[in-house]
Amino acid sequence: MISRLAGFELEIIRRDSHAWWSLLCLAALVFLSFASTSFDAARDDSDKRAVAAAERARWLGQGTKDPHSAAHYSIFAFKPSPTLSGLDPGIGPFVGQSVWLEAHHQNDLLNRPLQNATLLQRAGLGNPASLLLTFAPLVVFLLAFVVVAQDRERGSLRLALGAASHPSAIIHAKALAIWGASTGLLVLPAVAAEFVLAAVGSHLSIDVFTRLSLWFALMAVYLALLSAIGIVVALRARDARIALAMLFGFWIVAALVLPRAGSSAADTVRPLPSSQIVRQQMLDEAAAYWTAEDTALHKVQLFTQYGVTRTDDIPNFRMAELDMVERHSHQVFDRILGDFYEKVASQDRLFSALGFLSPTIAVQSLSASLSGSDFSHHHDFIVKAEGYRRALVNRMNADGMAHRAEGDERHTNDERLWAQIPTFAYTAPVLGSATGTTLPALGALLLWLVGTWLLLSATARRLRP
Amino acid sequence: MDDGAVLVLDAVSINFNGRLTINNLSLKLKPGEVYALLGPNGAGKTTTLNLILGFLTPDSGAIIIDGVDGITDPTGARARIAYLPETVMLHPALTAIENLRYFALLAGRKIEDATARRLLSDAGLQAEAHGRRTSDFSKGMRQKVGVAIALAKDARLLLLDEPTSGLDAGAANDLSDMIRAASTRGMAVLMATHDLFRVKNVAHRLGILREGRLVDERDAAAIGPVELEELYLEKLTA
Repeated sequence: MISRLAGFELEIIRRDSHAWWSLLCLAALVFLSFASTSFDAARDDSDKRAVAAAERARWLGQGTKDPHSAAHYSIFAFKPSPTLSGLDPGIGPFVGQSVWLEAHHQNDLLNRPLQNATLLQRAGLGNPASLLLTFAPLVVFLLAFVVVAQDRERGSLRLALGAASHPSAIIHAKALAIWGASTGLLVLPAVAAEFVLAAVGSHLSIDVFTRLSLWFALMAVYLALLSAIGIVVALRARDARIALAMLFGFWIVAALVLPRAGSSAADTVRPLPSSQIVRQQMLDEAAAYWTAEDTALHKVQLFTQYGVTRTDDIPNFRMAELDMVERHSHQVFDRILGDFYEKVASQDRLFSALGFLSPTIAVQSLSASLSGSDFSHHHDFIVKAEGYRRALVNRMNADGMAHRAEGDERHTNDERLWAQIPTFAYTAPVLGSATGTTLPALGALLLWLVGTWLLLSATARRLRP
Repeated sequence: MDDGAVLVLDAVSINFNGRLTINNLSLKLKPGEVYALLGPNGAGKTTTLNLILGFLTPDSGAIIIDGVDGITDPTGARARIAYLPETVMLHPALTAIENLRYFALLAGRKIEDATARRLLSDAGLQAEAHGRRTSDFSKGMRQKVGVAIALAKDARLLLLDEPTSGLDAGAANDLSDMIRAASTRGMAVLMATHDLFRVKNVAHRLGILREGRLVDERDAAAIGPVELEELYLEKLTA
């Protein structure tokens, strides 16, 4: 019976021009932003693949040279677009997409998509997730106003209550209609299109399918709890006008103010050092160039390591020194950047815990995580790219160390060695392996869902005209 | 206690803010009986209907509707009641047929278009209005749809709250016909009203409510229109 009643409520929504056109306009905007974001991601990935292939050819064709010079000549690594970046690019536009892998340096990523962003994208509204998070509450509340507050104000709810054998069915049908209309028009088309694109593009793995299903479920839950909030307020407010004012206020606070205030609060409570300070600290502790005094110190360390007393007793003293300095830098980078990334993760955890204040914050955190576009996933790329860099540099240095060279003499090698370095192929983490920072948001969202539906059920049970 | 009665109110009382709005009200309606509850504004007529509908819970007393306890099982009791508020407010975006099907569905009855058209015609709504949205319906037309909703529910008890208020003479007359028809079908009818003329016209019994108390109760046939008016004024000013 509830689904049949919901059918009538949907018809009421469809015939209300304000509600219907608001819903359709947002649905069109969400879908167009999905198409635009997906197109950009596909084009960027195609470009990245082409440049990565050229980079590989450049690496292989660099000719005969000293392996350590080859490690400096090195190569770019490219970050593929996250799994569901068409739905939620997350921090993608704000972080680099490629990294120069060279000896002595763990470089920052370059080429941030935001550098080429449109006006809408620069405003943070150029993707489906941000549009849904920001504007879906407004549209859902408008639907609640039409099918509940106006119904109550007009008196048709009183007639319905007098006619109903199960009054709570009226409210559940209204909730189902609002949720069905908003989910069906705002979320489903983009998710279905993403599914088709993944299937056609042959990257519909179990992980992608699971992420896509969960992202759909996440947005469906978000719209369900917004529907419940809209209905409860519309039923409990003194009249329709006050209900509308309260819902409008809730939208401003929950969807606009709190996510921004939460972000600022997380930044204040758990501040990050500036990237310049971090970079300088790394240079201070692991310099790429060193003095004669440093070399003297290195000599002592290498004599101890090799158990010798003369540089000539080390097959390739220069390469051994470079290798020692390189390995020292790994420890320095791990300590300094590890601390920095832990602070970022801690800030993310705090922000996601603020989901207890606003469901928009909780959904924002979870959406980026499910889409593979949050910091945890980005960090995974950084770690894997850095691992590749270290393996490459270590292999080059090892080749140099294995060949005797004295004084200014240089051991050289060629494509046979360069080809031993595999092509960099990044595989994003599977769902669950990089979602730790969003667990508080999941708890918060569940609490919101249970709380609002309990409130809705209680309101429905005590429904009076 | 119910003796086959469709509605039994037994010593029902409710108070709001320390004031007894309904005071020890007892009332019994048999199948097919039309009972008019008379009284000025604030006498407790609408409160009585809300108690019967289960929208309010009495502080004391019993309410039985067609054998179902209206206090412990308001949902079960409400399933046996058709209710027409003073102003029947339909969904303006839906047609008369859609409104009827929607409200019938709420009562657990799924009706087809043809049945809906027949019920609307039985309630006196012209065929050309059946498929029109109700946004521009007059009060009388909405009342007829409301009657069709009541008929569709096939309830045992029909509650009418000021049913003729704001209706023109023709529409009020149509409503009287409908009440008689409902009575003939065996439906008990309780109408809260000011309309003494209509009461005399359709009711079998009448009761006068004042400050929540039933101060007089008569057979409608045993009293003339002028006497009824005199009695009403006397009871209100006594």
